Amino acid sequence: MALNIFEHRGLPIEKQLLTWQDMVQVPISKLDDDAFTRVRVILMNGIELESIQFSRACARMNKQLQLPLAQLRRIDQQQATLVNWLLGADHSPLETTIAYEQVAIEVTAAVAQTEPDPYLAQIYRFGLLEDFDHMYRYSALLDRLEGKDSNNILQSYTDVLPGRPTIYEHRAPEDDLRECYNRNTAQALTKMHALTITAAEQQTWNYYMNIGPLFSDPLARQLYAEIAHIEEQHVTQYQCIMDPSETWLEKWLLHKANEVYNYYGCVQQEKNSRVKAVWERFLDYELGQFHVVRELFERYEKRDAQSVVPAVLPEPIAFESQREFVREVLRNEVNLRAKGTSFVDISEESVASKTYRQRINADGVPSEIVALNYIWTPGGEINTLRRPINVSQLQH
Amino acid sequence: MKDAAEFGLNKTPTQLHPVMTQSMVQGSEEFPPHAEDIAFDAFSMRKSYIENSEQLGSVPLPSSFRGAVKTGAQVIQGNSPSVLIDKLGERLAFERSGVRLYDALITKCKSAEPSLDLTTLEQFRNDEAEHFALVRDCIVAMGGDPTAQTPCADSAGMAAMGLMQVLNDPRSSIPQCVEAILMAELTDLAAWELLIELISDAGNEEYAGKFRQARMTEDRHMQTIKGWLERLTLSNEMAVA
Repeated sequence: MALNIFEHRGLPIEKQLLTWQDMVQVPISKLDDDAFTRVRVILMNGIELESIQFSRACARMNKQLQLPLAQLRRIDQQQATLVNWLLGADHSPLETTIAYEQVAIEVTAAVAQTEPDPYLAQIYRFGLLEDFDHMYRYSALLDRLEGKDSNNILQSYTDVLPGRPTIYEHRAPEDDLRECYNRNTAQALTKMHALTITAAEQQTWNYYMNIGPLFSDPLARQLYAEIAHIEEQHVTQYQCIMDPSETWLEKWLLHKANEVYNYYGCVQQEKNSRVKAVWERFLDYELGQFHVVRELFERYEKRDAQSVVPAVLPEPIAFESQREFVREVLRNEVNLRAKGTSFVDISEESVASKTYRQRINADGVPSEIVALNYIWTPGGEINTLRRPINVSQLQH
Repeated sequence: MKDAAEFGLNKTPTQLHPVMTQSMVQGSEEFPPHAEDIAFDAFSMRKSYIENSEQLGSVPLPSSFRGAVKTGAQVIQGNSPSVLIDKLGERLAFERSGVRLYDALITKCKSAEPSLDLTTLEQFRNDEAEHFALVRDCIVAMGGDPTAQTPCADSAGMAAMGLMQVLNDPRSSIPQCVEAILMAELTDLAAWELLIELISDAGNEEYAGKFRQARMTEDRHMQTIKGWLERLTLSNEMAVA
């Protein structure tokens, strides 16, 4: 059942405050919690971080909004902390990476199937196959570097198979641009999707850029460098989708609506009662924040907030395995390439992208090196290696 | 309670999801691995980095080598004075971290069951602090600077990061913490033995004798911790049975 965002007033922002102890709670169990609980934790952290980053940019351009932006941003900061700190320290940075890619795959696949705009659905399917390949490369790294099975994180919901090879994902900047939706005609669901996926990709870029240098292994360092570049391309792609002619306040209102939308989806689908209580609390927070922005929007823009956000929000994003859909996309679209804002067959790829790729891949490609002949096996590749394990097997 | 874990709803086994897992395995038949670029392999790539890398850093030069010998500073003898200073720096750092590892275990034992003998734990922590002071005095006596972080100290610190994480995690059990401490104590014991040889080679019998005492203390730590781990583990097995 969908939520009426205008009927529910939420918690007044004056009452929204977390103590350090509120923010630092018992984390979820890496072993016992369902993988989709972790998916929601990572996604909602991304949603909060996007809200904060937007708010900062908005404050730099709108003097009169700086105080309310700062007030709501402070609450976002506390929410982001609580949510992100739900990840336990027994997740290695590489295991968390696997979880990030699971978010990218499962959430993007769900979005691609419900997106009403066919062009935008194509964009999501295109990005999906690239994140899908990252999962395969990082799984090979986790297995071959740390001796761990990525499926301990994935819990068999998500495939570990090659997608559109990462080596071919490197494109010239002009081939990462996309057309945007029309702010006046696009459905609310389209706007929620664009904000959600942009947020998820942006936090993934940010995470890889921060943890890449934590690895001692040069191959891991190169792989994070390589895939972080694709995440930058993905953020470039997804942020294009949002209509630049939306006003600052309109965008702010949409951000808050999107936070409500996603927390509501989490509340609906969460099975861990302690985590569900967090989603319920923050849904209440976001409703309160939405109405602060709604009031500002209506005061400054002198138009009804319902001209931007419908009273009843769309059905939430489904948190479930999208294996069959992903494979179908893989079968049909792995050879698509981006050219300008369009998608073309591999044979029509732009010279600019080919040239760029040739240059950046000149000294070897970590995503190729790490996954050479890698086939995911339950319990790790070691189950399939011949004994004694000779040097040629270790060279991958 | 921070006792050993019990049977529960661990979601990592593939047997919990037989159909999905089978589908994952079969997926590689339709979507097999395919190399797009085989010009480089992992071994060659890593070898190249290893060959072209720089070290973690250098061993700080003691004042006795800089010509500005402090009063009373001993001249370091032996074939590898830089190794001695490096390893002394490592021991210094390790013993200092050891105090903090025991601090974490004491906190855990004061907050959870089954508690260990706190008097013994506090004694062990104090031993680590004394060993720290012993190595510090030795470094000073040789004209070294005990505030420096040597390359081996840095490397040993990296290796011990996981131990620190386990001990400070509120969710870790007492047996898991004891196992982490045992890893530290086993390393510590072997490291003291090596250091005794190094300092003896350097002709410093005064500190060689003191280090032998420290080694005996560390041996007692290791044996005690090992015994505790055995009892904690085996008694839990009996309880489960």
